[in-house]
Amino acid sequence: MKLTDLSLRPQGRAGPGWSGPRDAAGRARSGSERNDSGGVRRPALRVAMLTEGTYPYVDGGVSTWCHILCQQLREVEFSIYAVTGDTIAGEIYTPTPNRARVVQLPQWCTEDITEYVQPGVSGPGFFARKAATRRPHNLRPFLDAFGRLLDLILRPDTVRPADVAIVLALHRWFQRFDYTTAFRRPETWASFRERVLAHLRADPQLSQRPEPSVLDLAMGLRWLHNILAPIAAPVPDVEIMHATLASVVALMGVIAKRERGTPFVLTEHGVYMRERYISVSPGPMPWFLKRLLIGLSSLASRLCFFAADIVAPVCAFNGRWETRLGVEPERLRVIYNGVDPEVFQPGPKPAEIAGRPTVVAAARITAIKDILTMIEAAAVAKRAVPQLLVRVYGSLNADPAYTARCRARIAELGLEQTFTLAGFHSRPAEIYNEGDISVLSSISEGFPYTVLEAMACERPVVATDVGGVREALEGFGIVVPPKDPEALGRGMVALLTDPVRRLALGRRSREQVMARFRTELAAQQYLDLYHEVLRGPRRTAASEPIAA
Amino acid sequence: MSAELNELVRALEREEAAPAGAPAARHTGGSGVALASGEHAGPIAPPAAPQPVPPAPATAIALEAEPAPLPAGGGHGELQPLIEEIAERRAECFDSLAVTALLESSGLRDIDARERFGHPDLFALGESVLPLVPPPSARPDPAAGHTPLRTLLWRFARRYSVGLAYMVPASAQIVCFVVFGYSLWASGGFTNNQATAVALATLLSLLLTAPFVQTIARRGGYYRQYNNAYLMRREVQRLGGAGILVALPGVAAATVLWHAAGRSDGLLLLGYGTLLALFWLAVAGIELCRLRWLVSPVMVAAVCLVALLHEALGMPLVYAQWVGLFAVWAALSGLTAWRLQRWASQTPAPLRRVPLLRPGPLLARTWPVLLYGLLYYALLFTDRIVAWTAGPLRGGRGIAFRGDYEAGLDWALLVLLLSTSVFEQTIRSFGERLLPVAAATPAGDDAGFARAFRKLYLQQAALLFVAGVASLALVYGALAFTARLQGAQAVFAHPVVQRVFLFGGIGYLFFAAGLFYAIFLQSLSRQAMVVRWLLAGLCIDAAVGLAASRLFGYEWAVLGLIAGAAYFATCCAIFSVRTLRHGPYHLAATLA
Repeated sequence: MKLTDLSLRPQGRAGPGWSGPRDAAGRARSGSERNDSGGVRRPALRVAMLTEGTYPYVDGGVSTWCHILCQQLREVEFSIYAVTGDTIAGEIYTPTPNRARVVQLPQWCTEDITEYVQPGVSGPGFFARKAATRRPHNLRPFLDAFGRLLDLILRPDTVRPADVAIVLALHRWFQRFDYTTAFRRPETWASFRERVLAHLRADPQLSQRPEPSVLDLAMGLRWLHNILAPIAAPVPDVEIMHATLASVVALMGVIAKRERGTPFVLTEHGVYMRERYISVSPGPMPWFLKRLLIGLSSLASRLCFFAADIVAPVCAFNGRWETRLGVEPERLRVIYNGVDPEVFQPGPKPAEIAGRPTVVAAARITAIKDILTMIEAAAVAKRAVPQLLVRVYGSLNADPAYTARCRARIAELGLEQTFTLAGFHSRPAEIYNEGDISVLSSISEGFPYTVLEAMACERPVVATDVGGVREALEGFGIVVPPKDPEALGRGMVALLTDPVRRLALGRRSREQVMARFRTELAAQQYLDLYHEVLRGPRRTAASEPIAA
Repeated sequence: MSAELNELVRALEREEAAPAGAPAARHTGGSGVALASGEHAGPIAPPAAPQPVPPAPATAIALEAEPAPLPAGGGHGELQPLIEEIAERRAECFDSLAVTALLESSGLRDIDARERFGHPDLFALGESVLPLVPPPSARPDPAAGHTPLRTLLWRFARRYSVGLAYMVPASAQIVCFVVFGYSLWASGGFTNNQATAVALATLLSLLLTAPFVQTIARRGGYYRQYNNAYLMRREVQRLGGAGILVALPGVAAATVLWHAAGRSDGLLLLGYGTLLALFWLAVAGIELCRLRWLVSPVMVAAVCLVALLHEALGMPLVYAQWVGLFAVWAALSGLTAWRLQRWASQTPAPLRRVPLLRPGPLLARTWPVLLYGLLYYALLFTDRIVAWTAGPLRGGRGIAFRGDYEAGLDWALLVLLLSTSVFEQTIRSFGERLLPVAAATPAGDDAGFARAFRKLYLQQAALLFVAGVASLALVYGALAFTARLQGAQAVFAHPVVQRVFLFGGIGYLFFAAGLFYAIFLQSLSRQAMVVRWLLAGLCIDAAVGLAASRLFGYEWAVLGLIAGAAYFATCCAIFSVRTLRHGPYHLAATLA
């Protein structure tokens, strides 16, 4: 993301409809927690929420989830540890009163990453740490642990639960010595290069590949330096660590669990490892850097899955991956996202389009949302419903090239009067009431809010069968294969031309939301989960002695 | 240079991070290596064949605890479209999970794996496909095209002229001096005591502000690079303020010492020192705002103002110059403030909340820059101070301006400016080559990395040598020619001036060579080394200058300049060669 993109401050999820105080039933219930000695309210439960690329700096589904959790669980004191891309960023969500602090852990564009991961060190101590780090005997434990970590990154399939000891050793070492200086030492470079080249030469498959270049290795070390920074951060003094993805930032939870016995809960909205494969594997990046990034992500995910007391994906679909990556079914707990039915209420269509069959969608104009298929589907549906109107609300700036392709396709199909790319909408609750039905054409999803929001507005949904969509829509909407414009178009026609079915599905959809997908329900389940992991036996991540 | 390198790296990371047609990572600031969970960016795959709406699964969705065994079905022919799709995306699949993820991201589901490919699920399908996926073919390297000589020459001329542009303000001053008999802070009519005070004020103001001028350029450039003009403005204000807080008391202290030594005209030292310090800091700001071209016209206008006040209104020259200097400072500062304010107002609000670096980390990052600025001018000026304090002193004064020595060195300074104008070419050539060479050199081949730079290094050194010698010859020829026209009255006809010019020119050529190597070292984050050798050179300059000037006469203080600059250049050269041998490490340390 470019820095200038931050000027496009999203207002939808963070807007007035979302940031005000709430008195929902779930909050009242959770607020009634008493201690054993006479009805005095318990002190706030302190939870560290670990995020990456989302809350509270970037808009999106995960951020919405985080914000809802902070809003709903008022008696929980949240500290946010947020990995961001750039240093230079500002919050876009209105802070809730129960938020203790936000600690930003930037990966890129930092002048000195130590400023963020080791903020307490200042004055003469700052220079003393740097000087101490340069001493060979001080550096040796770091080199040992870093070397072992590298072995795991390059062979992530060999990661065992006990390997958390290596991360822990590094964490402890960084509490005494300077993070950046360690990575800049010639010994570190020599060790890094030696290990990497030895590993690649020993691997029968990789030894056939061209040797990585100087730049590949230099970039690799730079990326490790930037990405691993959260493990140098001090362990937060909280009762629970709650990570929103199984990435390097979640290793803070693994470390806290080992250092302080702090219970560790892991929620995955997408599946981090899967997303890393999808984003890193393709493209022109040198193969060694792909290997390094995927290895690092895999290492982090596996350690998190080994250590987490409970892994709570937002849909069962994600559980397939998590099981595959080492989570036993008994540690898996699906907690579905919820929406606020008070905010997302059914309403009449605007008068100007009241008589026109209208389909709405809330989606950024990006390839992952497959808007091109939606356009094709509109062309299919228009054959049966000539007055069709399709409105897509979502940022047009997320991928300008793709937006241009969509516009061109709309023109090619002569859909200018039918298909509208309406841009960002600041009040998402109003979007769905503009339509008779809602549509989702994504080729990949977790458990999308947009489906639940449309359902809450009594607008039945035609959606692609990706991620956890089926879990939300089964029996309440139409699910079609992804990338199939015919099926998607037929689904639209089926609902638009059958008002009785449409209205019935709409009513049932809202009932389903009220029964299963309310924010209060989701928040209550997380609160219950917190208490459960606090009460329950602590899962030990590993028992090997720590060398540092 | 570092900023340029950083920008190149960021560009490379951006390029690598964004697959064709895929949205950029949301928050990575360039690397694309940390996507938001649930919001991955994947390219589109070709549409799959239309499928009927699948039957509804059981209400309770079972989790698959164990990977399914490989099925018998799914021959290579059926899998071929999947393999081609992955190949089309240039995807590296190091394990079967990568294949599964990619297939899933292109819209395939477990039901498709079962019904279309005869595998129990996508994980099993991924395992079957993995061995069949070839590694992406290496991209053909863009052919190293041969650049025509004409293009090279034109490029060099353009870059050299950019370097020469730094001389324009000084040249404008010289022209004004010739036209009016005085410039903004010089005058042919000053007494020796006045000239000494003004010269000291000039040197002192440069020495005291240079660290901050350098740091403003570095830090301001950093924020400009990241489009945060708001922080750039705050950093300029902070460092500019610090510069004033250091420079003004420094000038005041020097004035007190001047008075304590029983010298008159201390007010000149205070006035010129203060105003010149403000002027140098203002130039740093205007440079950052990319308005450097305004400095010369503003200075010329200010000299015209001085002339108006002095000639037409009868104001004493000193006061008129102070008004002129103040006007220049006000104009440049105002323009800087206006430009920064304008830029800052366009900075998005969230970016403004980011705090500046705390003083400790700021100092940790910038101390070599601060010292470099100080020592750079110290090495340039030490021999002058040594010369001014040597020889038969007039009226028992400890320090006295030597007009002949100054004239010789000032003309020699032209040699330095003309020579170092090639640095624009050097910096850009090195910057253009660094990452491509690093990308083309195998990681284990340090020698290859050094070898790849040797030619460039020698080319640039030769260029500097030619430019230096040509500059020396050119300036000497011009001065000799002018002296012949003017006859015995010419300043350059004086043997001391000639001697100082020639030796000073040689000293400055050594200094230019040292700076040449310093550029290379600084671009690989070896600023501390440069500072060390500058300090050593300065000590040698002072020691040799003192000895020579006391033994043979004040004009031989210039030998100190030669010795100090030669030492600086030699050390930097040796260390550059060593650094080059370990170039990959230094590149990595710079990037980390």
